[in-house]
Amino acid sequence: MSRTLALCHICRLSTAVPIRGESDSALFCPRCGTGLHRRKPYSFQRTVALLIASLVLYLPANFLPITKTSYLGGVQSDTIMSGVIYFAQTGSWHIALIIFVASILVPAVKILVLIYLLLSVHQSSSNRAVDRTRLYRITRSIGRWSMVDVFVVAILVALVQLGPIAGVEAGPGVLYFGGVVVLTMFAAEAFDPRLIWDRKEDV
Amino acid sequence: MSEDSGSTPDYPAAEVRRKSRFSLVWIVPIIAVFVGVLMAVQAIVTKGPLVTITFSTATGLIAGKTEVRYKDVMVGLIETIHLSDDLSTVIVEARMDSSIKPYLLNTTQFWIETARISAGEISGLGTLFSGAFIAMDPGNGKEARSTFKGRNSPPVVTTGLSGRLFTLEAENLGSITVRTPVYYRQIKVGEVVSYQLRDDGKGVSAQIFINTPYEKFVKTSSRFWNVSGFDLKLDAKGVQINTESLTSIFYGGIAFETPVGFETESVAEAGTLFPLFRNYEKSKEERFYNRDYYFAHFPHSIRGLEPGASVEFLGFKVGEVVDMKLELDVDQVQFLTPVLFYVEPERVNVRGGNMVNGKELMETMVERGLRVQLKSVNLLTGQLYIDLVFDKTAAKKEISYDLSHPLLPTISSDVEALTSSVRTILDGLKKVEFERLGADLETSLSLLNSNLKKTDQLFANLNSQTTPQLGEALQDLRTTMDAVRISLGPESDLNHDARVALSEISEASRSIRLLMNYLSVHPEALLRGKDQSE
Repeated sequence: MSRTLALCHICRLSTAVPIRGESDSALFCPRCGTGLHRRKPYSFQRTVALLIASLVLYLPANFLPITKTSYLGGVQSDTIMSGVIYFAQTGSWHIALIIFVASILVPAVKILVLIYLLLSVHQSSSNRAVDRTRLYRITRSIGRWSMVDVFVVAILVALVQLGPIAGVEAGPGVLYFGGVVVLTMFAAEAFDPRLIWDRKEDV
Repeated sequence: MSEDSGSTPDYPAAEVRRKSRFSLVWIVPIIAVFVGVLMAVQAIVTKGPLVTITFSTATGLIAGKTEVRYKDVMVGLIETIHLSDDLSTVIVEARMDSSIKPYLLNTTQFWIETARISAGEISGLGTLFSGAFIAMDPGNGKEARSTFKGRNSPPVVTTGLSGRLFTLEAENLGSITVRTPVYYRQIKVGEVVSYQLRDDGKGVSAQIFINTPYEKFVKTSSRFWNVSGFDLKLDAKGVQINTESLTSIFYGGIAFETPVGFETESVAEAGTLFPLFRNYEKSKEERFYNRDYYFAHFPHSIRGLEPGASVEFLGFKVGEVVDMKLELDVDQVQFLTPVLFYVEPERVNVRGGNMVNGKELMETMVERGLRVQLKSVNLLTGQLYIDLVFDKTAAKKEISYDLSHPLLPTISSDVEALTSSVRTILDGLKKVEFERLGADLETSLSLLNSNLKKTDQLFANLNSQTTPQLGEALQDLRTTMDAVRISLGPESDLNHDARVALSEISEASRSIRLLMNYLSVHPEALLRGKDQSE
């Protein structure tokens, strides 16, 4: 049984651990008893679970209004997409582009990329491992920018409170959208990129 | 690493314990799915009914944005707007709130609320910025509905507004429109709900709604008049302007009051019909707005009858003559003189029971012998009027409906009878030969002359023969006179009787003088008798 070394998180003791751990066994440091992890624990499961949850929330996030704008008695509810269309139609195509990229494109791409990475890991693919790792890096770094939309809504709600003249309220959609962003970020964090390389080294 | 570094000391082996195959993280998607399913179920359960409303235009309506509101509370949202197949109407489909479903009834009304600015009021200003919305009013219906016909203007009478509806009828509309205010003692108590041309096109009728608690002031005898604009009077006292209120100057209005009169005042039932007069003065003067037109064919000359001549019934004026014509019936070679006149049925105060309609009433009256007769106002000028009389002896006749107005049966005029009798008298007078009368008088006078001569001779005889005997006779006479004096004395019966008789005679002669005086002033009294009014 081939072994490799693992470092205890707490007492920094180097320990010999099996290269391929059994899925139902946990390793502990022989000196201090802290749990040892060769890879992120439950990485695959966690990523899948969080991705599924974010996919479920993705629907209400895009179909429920994220803002309710009242202006002199008239109330207008906007979803993310209707906001993009509104800005595009009124000529502010650059704002429309920013919102579209940050709020629609990025979460969707992130979910798709994570699904692709999970599938490739599941199938023990060894193709283009470097590219996949780069994809993961990019995904992880841009994920947080999706929160821009949530912050915009938060600032608008805080600033535009002019009583009966005008007001902005957060719609239920923003809650789900925030959920999607947070869950995909967690999913990206839960994914252990070393899984990409595990099989390759085995070979 | 460990394999190729045999020199390094052996690393201690990690402890191995068992662990769960599954991560707790699976709770996250389970919760997400649970929340999602819950939301979907809720959305399906709370999905309200879809209603179809047709409008003439879709002013300001936007599919997916325009709301349906009741009392400014959102109860629905427009989903689609499309044109009907024949392009005549706009069909709006709105998704209603499920809570409003029990109020989608056959009486439910929808209208488009936009900013409305009129002299009376400004409403819906908020829609200038927010855009139009569809307002609804449920009404008190029983039947559930899902298709509705949208109104063009907001209804005046909405659910929860209590009061009473009345109908006004007028010749012309004047400046009345929907929402024209109704005033009672210059307080706004109601509004015009709707107006339309009467079916026969001979007038307009308007529905008014009097709000609670003012509806009790509308009595059966109340008079309504138009107060559009103002009355300007310029006289010695200065300029006088009368108006109900400032808004009525620009916006028009209707006022009413209940004059003191013969009628017992009872609160008018909902739906009662009232005439609408042109102004306050007219409401005082003209009590009648309903006219029933009739024809009458007179078989004789109607010379003296003119348009405007009165139509009387039992001595009361009930109508007027409108026009008359001369017609030739070619088939029977007969000339007819149809006269058109009207009767104002409201001139008759109705007591007890319900007012039957004019046609039935007239039919029963004709059955009982009502006839049209021409009568003379003044014999000398020859003016005529139409009298509606009851002739119990007349042969049974019925109203004919062949003409444009009902034709009433006539009886021959008493004027004609009278003129013919006058004519006979005059003819008789013509036959008297006044010349011969003069000649006769001359002979009579000469005869008288000769008679007087004979009297002279008689007196001569008398002087010679009779005088001697006269002395004896006088003696006799004195004795007789004594006896007579006793019987004729101041205390005698005869004397008294004679005095009474004399005073009677003087009385009689004075009466004759009065009669002569009267006749000299009123020669017509010979024919008509003494005028009772004098």
